[in-house]
Amino acid sequence: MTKRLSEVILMLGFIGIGATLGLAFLKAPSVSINAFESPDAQRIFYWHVPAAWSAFIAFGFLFVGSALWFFKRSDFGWKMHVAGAQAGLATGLMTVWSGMVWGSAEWGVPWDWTDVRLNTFGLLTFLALFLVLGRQAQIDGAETRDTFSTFGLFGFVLVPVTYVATRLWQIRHPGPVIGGGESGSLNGEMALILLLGAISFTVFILGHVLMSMRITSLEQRLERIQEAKDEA
Amino acid sequence: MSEALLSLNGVSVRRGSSLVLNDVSLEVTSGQLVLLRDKNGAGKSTIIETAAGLLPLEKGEVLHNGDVLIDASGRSKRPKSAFGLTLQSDGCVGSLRVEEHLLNALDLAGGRIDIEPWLERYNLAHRKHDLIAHLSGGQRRKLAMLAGMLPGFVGHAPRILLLDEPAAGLDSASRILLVEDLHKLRCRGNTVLLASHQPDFTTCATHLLTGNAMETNEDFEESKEGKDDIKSTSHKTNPAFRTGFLLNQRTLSSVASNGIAGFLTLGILLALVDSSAVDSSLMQASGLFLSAAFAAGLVGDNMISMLYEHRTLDWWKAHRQGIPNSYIHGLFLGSGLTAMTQFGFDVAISWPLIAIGGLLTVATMMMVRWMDLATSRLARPRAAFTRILTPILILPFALLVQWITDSGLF
Amino acid sequence: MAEGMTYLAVAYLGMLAAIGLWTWTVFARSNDLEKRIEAVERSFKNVDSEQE
Repeated sequence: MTKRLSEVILMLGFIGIGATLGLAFLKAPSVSINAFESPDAQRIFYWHVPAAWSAFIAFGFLFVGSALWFFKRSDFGWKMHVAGAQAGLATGLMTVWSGMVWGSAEWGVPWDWTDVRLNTFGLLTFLALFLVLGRQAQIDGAETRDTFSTFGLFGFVLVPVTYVATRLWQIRHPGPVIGGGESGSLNGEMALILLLGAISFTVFILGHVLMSMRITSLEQRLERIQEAKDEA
Repeated sequence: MSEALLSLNGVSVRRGSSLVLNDVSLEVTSGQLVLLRDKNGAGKSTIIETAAGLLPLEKGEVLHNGDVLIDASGRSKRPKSAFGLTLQSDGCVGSLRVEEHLLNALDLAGGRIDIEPWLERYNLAHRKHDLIAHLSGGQRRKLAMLAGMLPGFVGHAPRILLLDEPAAGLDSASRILLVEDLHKLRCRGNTVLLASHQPDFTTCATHLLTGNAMETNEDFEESKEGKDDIKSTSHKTNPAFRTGFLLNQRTLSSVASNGIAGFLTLGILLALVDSSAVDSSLMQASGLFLSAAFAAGLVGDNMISMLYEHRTLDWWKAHRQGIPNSYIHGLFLGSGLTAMTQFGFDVAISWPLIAIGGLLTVATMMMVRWMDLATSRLARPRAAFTRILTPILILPFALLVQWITDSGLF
Repeated sequence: MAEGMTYLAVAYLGMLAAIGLWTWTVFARSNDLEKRIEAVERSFKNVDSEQE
């Protein structure tokens, strides 16, 4: 039942993402030529912004899961940590990659070392990569879970810093699109497509988190059966 | 009943996915020697390492002299009185000399005794100045055993001694001597927790621990020898700092790892950057001059990987009095690299920048070392890929360079 | 103009393919684990029935 539900959610999200991109290409209005160096590349933000939004959700799962394991020793929390790290890596890579595509078209450089939000987002993705690769190389146990959940908690400090950082240190990066005041406002059609993107990415990432948690359960079940067979 | 020196209160410990200790309680008072003699894999080493505060507890707490050493919430405190520890792996790094390791064990206990008679007794005197790497397996075991035992002869207050298979690989003559010495340690009031599957120790153990049950040992024979007359002197020093410095001097590991990264960075900068560009306003020159020092620090502290040998890192961690480091060498290396970069680009030497370079290497090294130590508890610490996290340090470096430029320091 | 759209189309399709691949690996891993669990459980049952 859980399997079917998570599969359906995942597929719905994927279809929604495809639809968002189609609309971004074919339906979204072009922006004023004078406002941007590269007006076409601006369409990347229909991907970039929802990806960043879903990355925040994924890192939220990572934080809550890490905290649940670290403070409550909750097995459910550990599964959430694993799922959050994987989803965080994927959405983080999407955000950074789409940002680089836009940056190279608009700024002429794909990466700006002076932009704090860009860098902290990159660092969060590196953290997720560390958690995913590191966990795969270890035997599951209390030491492994304690260590990685500590890093999960530590990394989450970067999330509010990332958001606030733009306001404090904004050099090149556009201000926050959601809750960013008047300068962040969008026209109606653009906002609608962006909303569809945000919903699709959210559904997609929820599907992935559910699937990943199920996979961790299956891995644990397999290990238990194998141990029982070892002892038999 | 006298107060317990060592207490394990309802301790549960999980290793991997299996629960190795389940609700174990144990109270050992002064003058008791408890022998753990379960068969292999039953958790003897786990009890010793738990008593040393090396393993995270799922439940319960470990007390030394009535104070919490470690509890299930992860709270951990340095014990008032240092304990002796022999791990199943020898806990000594090959680049240290025999004498140096024993003096470390004594200094951690806050005093010194004459080690010469002990080396003679266990036929190690001729190896006193040798590197531990040159010892045979049996000789290294004797050294590990002495390092766990000798703190029991320092001072008058009784200590906790945790000895995991101290006689493994020892000849029968040495095992007889060890039994005599354990009697002496017990008579001094020390508390000894001894894990061994060998039958030699049944006569010197006051109690036996099998499974979760502690019972009085009916085969115990009181020693005929009286109290020993070993004199100890108080000795306050920092053995972790001294060992870090010594190991770096001897192996030049900082130069070989951090230094190479710094020199390579310097070489690349000299090859690619035109020195005329340094004076222009197009670049922040201080960033250029500090890059080699920063790269050297990013390598981390090689001391940590050196201490993985025979679980030496765990031996130091258990004592909670610091872990050997390479900070002094990092300081000189960073300063030297910053000076060389300025020299290479033919600009006037800035002494404040040289000092900042040294501190930058140390600070960066400390951060990477912290990441390494945070993952050292894992079953496979070298497979933890901590270097993936080093980009986190680029931003503070950029801010430092910006600050130097803005402050007009350079 | 057309060049910009091509650039964008490549970037979009590349990312879509990447998340498609990721999703496919998740499905594959889930199915693989189910099969392995089934196989181990079956071997358990075989041993039990042989003993009976």
